[in-house]
Amino acid sequence: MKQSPVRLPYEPVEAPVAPTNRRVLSKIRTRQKVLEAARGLFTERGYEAATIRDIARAAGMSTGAVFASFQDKSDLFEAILMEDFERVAEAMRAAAQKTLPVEEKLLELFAAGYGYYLNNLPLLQATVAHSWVRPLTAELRARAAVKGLLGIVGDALRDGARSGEIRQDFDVRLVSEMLWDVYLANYRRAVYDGWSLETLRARLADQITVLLGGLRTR
Amino acid sequence: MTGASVGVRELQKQATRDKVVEAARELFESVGYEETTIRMIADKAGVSVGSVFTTFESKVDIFNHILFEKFEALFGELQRISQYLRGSVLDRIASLMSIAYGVECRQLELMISHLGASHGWPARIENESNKRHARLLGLFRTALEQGVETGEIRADADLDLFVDMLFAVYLRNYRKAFYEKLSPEALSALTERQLGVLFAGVSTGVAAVTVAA
Repeated sequence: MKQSPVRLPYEPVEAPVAPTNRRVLSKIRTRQKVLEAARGLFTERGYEAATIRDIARAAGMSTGAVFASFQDKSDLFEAILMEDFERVAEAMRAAAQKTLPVEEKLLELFAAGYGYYLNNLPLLQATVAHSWVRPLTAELRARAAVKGLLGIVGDALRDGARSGEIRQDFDVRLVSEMLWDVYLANYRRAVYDGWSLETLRARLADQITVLLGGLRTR
Repeated sequence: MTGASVGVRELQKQATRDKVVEAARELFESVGYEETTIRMIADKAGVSVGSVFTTFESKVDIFNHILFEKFEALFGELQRISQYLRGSVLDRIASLMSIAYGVECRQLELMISHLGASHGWPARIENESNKRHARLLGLFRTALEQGVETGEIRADADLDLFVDMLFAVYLRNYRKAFYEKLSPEALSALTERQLGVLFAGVSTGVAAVTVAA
């Protein structure tokens, strides 16, 4: 059998490197500018009221330039949502690293989420509203991201089971999702009743106690 | 006479309102809430866009008017049924939710649009919505209070908190039903498992007193 010539990793590629890099860099910069402008407008006006035209103007470029980076408004919004998601996931993962009893760890983990979004409530509201009506493909991508967060919650629960704080035989996914459900529902109180981080925390602590109540071993 | 003309005007206003509601209902069901515009509603109702706005403040107001009417009918039915339900508190609340899912899942898209619109609507609508749903939550609460009396539910359980959690899980399930294409039966099965987890946190461990039907 004849072997095809092995291409070495350091073999020079045909296109000159510098201009490509410059083009890529400028593309990234444009994208970043659009994201920043869009974040501001979505926060200020909500998803529906912020138009691509407004966003382009705020970013100081043409609508065509915006469309070169993003397919449409929904695509642009999703990119912001994912940026936030990544930051929240990081905060949650950091909280999950702490050595704490399972209930406190869960509380710290979700409070990290509250802490982040409480400073970005209008944007969060737009995010949640959009999440109910987005196209299926976007929903699937968002689900994958949420699944990552649910995984952090699930790991915290499994740690609790391993240390003997809670039972071994329960449906981790079911309980994780229910924690997630009540965690999200509480945001409504922040939006409509002006609940502070402390109030949200206290509420969630009580909810976690109920949800884990039947799982405790002592 | 002033009295008569006011009466006529009121009647006309009511007639416009009915036409708008009927046109909107048809459009929301066939085209969907997000895709329907006020202009489309006005055209279908045979009135001007201005007249639509004299009867309703916004599209979400028309939508909610329709949905709240539906909820009112459903919750009334649940209230009627609730006195005939038997079994543990968990069973009874599971039945109430299951009946609600059966009804709402027939127009699941509308329910999803409604819940989507609920994030970001003005506080005045939020209050109205809370007032409407208080009826459903009241049914949950009554069942729980009966459970406290029979010793099934712990006397020190925070029922307000618990009802709130029931409601959060109940509502989020519509989303699961929609995106995971769960049948009402699958949804009811999921709900029972969720209620199992929730009730374990407030039950005394004393077996449910089964009331003979």
